[in-house]
Amino acid sequence: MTRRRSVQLALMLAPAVALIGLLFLYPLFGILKLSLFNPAFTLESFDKLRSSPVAALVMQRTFLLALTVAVLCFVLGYPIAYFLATMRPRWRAFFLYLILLPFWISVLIRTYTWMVLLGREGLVNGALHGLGITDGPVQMLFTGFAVHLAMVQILMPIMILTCFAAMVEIDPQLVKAARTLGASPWKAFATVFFPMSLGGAAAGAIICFILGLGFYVTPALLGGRRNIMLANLIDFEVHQTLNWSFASVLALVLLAATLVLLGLFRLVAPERRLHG
Amino acid sequence: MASTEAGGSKGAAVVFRGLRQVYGATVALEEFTLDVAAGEFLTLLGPSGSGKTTVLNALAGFIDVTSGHIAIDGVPISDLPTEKRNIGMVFQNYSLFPHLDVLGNVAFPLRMRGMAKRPARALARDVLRLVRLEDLGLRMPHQLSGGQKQRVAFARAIVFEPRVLLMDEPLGALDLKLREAMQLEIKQFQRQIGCTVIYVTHDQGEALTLSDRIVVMDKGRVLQVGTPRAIYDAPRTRFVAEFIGTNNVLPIAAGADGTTTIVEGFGPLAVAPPAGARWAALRPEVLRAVTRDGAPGRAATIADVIFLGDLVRYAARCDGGAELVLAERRLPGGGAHPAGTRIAIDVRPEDVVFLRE
Ligand SMILES: Nc1ncnc2c1ncn2[C@@H]1O[C@H](COP(=O)(O)OP(=O)(O)O)[C@@H](O)[C@H]1O
Ligand SMILES: [Mg+2]
Repeated sequence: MTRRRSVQLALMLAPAVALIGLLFLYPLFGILKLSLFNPAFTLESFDKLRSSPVAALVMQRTFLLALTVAVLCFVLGYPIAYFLATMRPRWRAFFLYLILLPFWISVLIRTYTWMVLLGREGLVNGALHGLGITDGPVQMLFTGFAVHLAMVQILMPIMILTCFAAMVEIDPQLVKAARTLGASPWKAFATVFFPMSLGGAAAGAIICFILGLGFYVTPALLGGRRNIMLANLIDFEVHQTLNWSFASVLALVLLAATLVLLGLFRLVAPERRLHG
Repeated sequence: MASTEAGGSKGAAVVFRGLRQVYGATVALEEFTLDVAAGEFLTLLGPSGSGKTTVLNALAGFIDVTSGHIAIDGVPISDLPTEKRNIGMVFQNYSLFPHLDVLGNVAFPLRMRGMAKRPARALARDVLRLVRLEDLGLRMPHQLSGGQKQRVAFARAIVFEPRVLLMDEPLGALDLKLREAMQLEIKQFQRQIGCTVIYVTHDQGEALTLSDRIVVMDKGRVLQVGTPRAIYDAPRTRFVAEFIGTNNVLPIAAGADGTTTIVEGFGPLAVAPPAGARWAALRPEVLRAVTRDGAPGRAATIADVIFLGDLVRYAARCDGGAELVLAERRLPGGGAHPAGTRIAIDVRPEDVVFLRE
C-alpha cells in the first residue's frame, strides 16, 4: 500500500475509530477500572465471583440456556434454511420476507406478545381450555419454558439466514454429481451437502449462543424471579445492591465469553464470506 | 478396476427411443432416437440450447422425459433412480467435492457402494495412476490446476467401472492448448477402459477428433448421425455443412441444357444438380486458386489473406459476386498471394456437395 493511500484510509476510518473509542472502549476501560479499584486496587470482586453461589448458579444457568437455545435454533432452523435454499426461487423471496418480518419488530414488543399468549388468561390457555384439553390454566408464563420458547423464536431468523447464506453458495450440481456416483438422495445430503453447510450452520449457532448469553428483557419479563440470567444479575447489582464493582466483574465474564466465542466463530465461519 | 484388466470390461449399448422433453413452451428435445453401440465413443454436437444436456440429463435420471424411453443393454432404466443406473458423469465445471481431498473424491463412488475406506482409497490411487496424478492424492481440489481437476473428475467417474460414461463439455473451461492435449488423453483413456462414452460438445473440431460417430443436433432435433468423415464429407443439410468445418454454401439453379448447374455468383459446373437440390457446398480445400492467365475457372480477386502456418486461407470475391473462402496448403518457405491478386478459382464437380434443405 502506498503512503498516500494509507493516509486516506486513516482519514476515512477516523470517525468510526473515534466513535468506537468513545462509546465502547472508554466505558469498557471504566468497567475494568471499576472492577479492580474501590478506590484502591483490590481483587475483592473477583474473589466474590469465585465464592458467590448465586453468581455461579446464574452463570451456569445462563450458559446452559444460551446453549440450549442455540441448539434448538440449529435443530429447528437448519431444515427451514434447507427448504428455503432448495425451493424454487420464485417463492423464496416470499418466505424470506416472512422470516424477516419479526426482525422489524422490537424484542420488547415480541416479548410482550409472548406474555399475552402464555399468560393465565392468555390465548394458549384459552384455546387449551376451550378444546377441553385442560381443566384450569397451565402455568407457562414465568417459567424456563417461556424463556426458551421466546428466545428461540427471536433468534431463529438469524440462524435461518446464516444457514441459508451458506447453503445457497453450495453448487447444486455437486449433489447431482454425488447421485451419479452412487449416492442415494439421503447419502448425497449427508456426505456432500451437510458437511459443506456445516460451517455456516455452526457460525449461526455461535451467533445465537453469543446473543443468547446477553439476553435481558426476555428472561426478565417471561422468566420471573426464578429464571434470572447473567444480564439480569448485572442489572440487579447495578440498580438494587449498588455493587458496581461486582457488576463490572460479571460484565467482564460476559465479555470474555463473547470474545472466546467470536474466536471460535472465525474458525468455523465459511472463509469466503469473511475474506471477501 | 480398468487399469488391472485393461480393455477387459466392455461398455453397454444404449438405446434412445422417441425421447421428447418439453419445458413450458420450449421443446428442448424432440423425437430423439438413437442406438449407441457398446464401447462406442459417440458425440452429441450442436450449438448451445440444442438439447444435448437434456439427453444426458434424461440418461442420468435427472429429469423424467415428457415421453419416450431409454434402455441400457436392453433393460429399460426409467424406473431406476440416478444412483442405481451405474453411469459415470463428468461435468463441465468438474464438480469435485471441495471438502474432500483428491483421493477422497475418487474413492467416493466406491465408498457409496459400501467399500471400506482403506481398499477404496487404494483403488482410487490405482486409477489416479492411470490419469498420472498419483502424487496429488492428498491435495484439496482448490489446489489443482484446471487440467488436473479435469483428470480427477474423469478418474472419479470411471473408478466404479460404469457401463456408460457421460461427459458434458468437459473441456469447455480449459484453454486451447490444454484442451487439445486433453482430447488425446480422453481418447486414450477410453480405449484403455473400453466403456461406452457419450460426449457432449459444441466444438466441431473436438467432435471430429474424438468420435467414432457424431450426432449433429439443432433446436432439439437430430439433423444427422454419422462418422466424422461422413459428417464432414457428406453433410445432408445446410446447417450441418456450415456447422462442421468451414464451408461455402451458395444457391444453385439447373442449367438450361440439363447437364450443368449454375452456382449463383460463381458460375456453371459441368454436372447436373440432383433433384431437389437448392445449394452447393464448396469446402475451402477443394477450391483451387490459379494465377496463370487463361487457366480454367472463374475470375476472382483476393480480398483478404489469413496466415495459419500450415495453411493459408483466402477470402476471395468472384467477378460474379460470390464471396468464397479458399484454403491452400503452404509448403515450408512458400509464399502466399497478396491481397488484390487476380486469380481463377477452379473446382472439380465431384467435390461439390449438393444440399436440399
Ligand atoms: N430446466 C429447464 N427449464 C426450462 N428450460 C430448459 C431447462 N433445461 C433446458 N431448457 C431449455 O431446453 C433447451 C435445451 O437445453 P440444453 O439441453 O441444456 O441445451 P444444450 O446442452 O445443447 O446447450 C434450451 O432451449 C434450454 O433453454
Ligand atoms: Mg449443455
